[in-house]
Amino acid sequence: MPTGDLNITSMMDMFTIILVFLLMSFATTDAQITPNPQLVLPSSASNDTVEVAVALVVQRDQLRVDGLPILPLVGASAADGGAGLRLPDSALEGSRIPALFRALSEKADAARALAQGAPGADRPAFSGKLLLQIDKDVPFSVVRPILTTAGEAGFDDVRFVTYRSGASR
Amino acid sequence: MARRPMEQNTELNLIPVMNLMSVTIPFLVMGAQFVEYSSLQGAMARIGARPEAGIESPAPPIGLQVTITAEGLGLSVSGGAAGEAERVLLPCAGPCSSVDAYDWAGLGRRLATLKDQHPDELTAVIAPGEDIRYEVLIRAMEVCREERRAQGGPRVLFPRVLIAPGPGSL
Repeated sequence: MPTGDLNITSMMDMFTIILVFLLMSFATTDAQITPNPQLVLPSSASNDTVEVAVALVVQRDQLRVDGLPILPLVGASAADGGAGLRLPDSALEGSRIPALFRALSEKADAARALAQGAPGADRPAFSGKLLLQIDKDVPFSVVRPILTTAGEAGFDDVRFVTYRSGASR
Repeated sequence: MARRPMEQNTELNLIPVMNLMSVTIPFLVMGAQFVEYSSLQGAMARIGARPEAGIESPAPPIGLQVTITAEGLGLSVSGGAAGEAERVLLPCAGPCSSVDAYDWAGLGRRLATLKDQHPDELTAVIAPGEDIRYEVLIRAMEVCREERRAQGGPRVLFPRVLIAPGPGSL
């Protein structure tokens, strides 16, 4: 019977191409953004990168801070494209969301305590940076009290996370 | 007469390289990022808010405000050194049902003209209506911050974007 070695040169070529492609698309951002069917981000051509900060996620069904559910969102339906989404009436106190304020204040206090406890002169100060990941169909009536509450909790530097569209490259 | 040395078949053993790649590729697939993310900086407008460090506007603010309603975009300038006031409405071509229905090109042109007239101005206030979708707000922020030009790359217009309650808000 004829015997022969397997010719793996073509497979090596294929693996080399795959390796180069994967190395180019290797994640280099520090921030963790988890894709979610309830969260479709808008697109922008901005070149600003996403930095590590407290993550406030506004999905179609709930509001989360660093992964912890804070509030449900009501009124979601496929028919109106998200226009009916709103915060529960009991969640609002004027233009502030108390549950969100408590969660963000805890994060801010923890960051300040960490900064004070760090040794050395160049200890990191509390930056007040907040990463906002909001579904593209959420109306401004939901976004406005969230921004107001974040500002009152000490998060003045808000970064709106978007998908990067190709126009900037 | 010298004899030529015998040619040896020296085929490279690629099996270890294959093994290395087979181990490396699953790790790279796990760490691969097939979608790129970016961010836009903004803040809620507050009375008496101080400007961020590094973004100081030497000129008196011109009170540039972009309103977004279900009818279209509004652009207003309330003052400045010359004390001029201007209000322009840029209606949608049809119903403002999607983000692309708004006249972003028209807004960009007018903002570029305003930047030419007030090169030191850095602040723009965006005031969306209560029912305006977040996607539309992000596009407005993007248009206010930068002008996309066919030649010469993007031009910075009003990088300090503040968000304020718009028409119909509490």
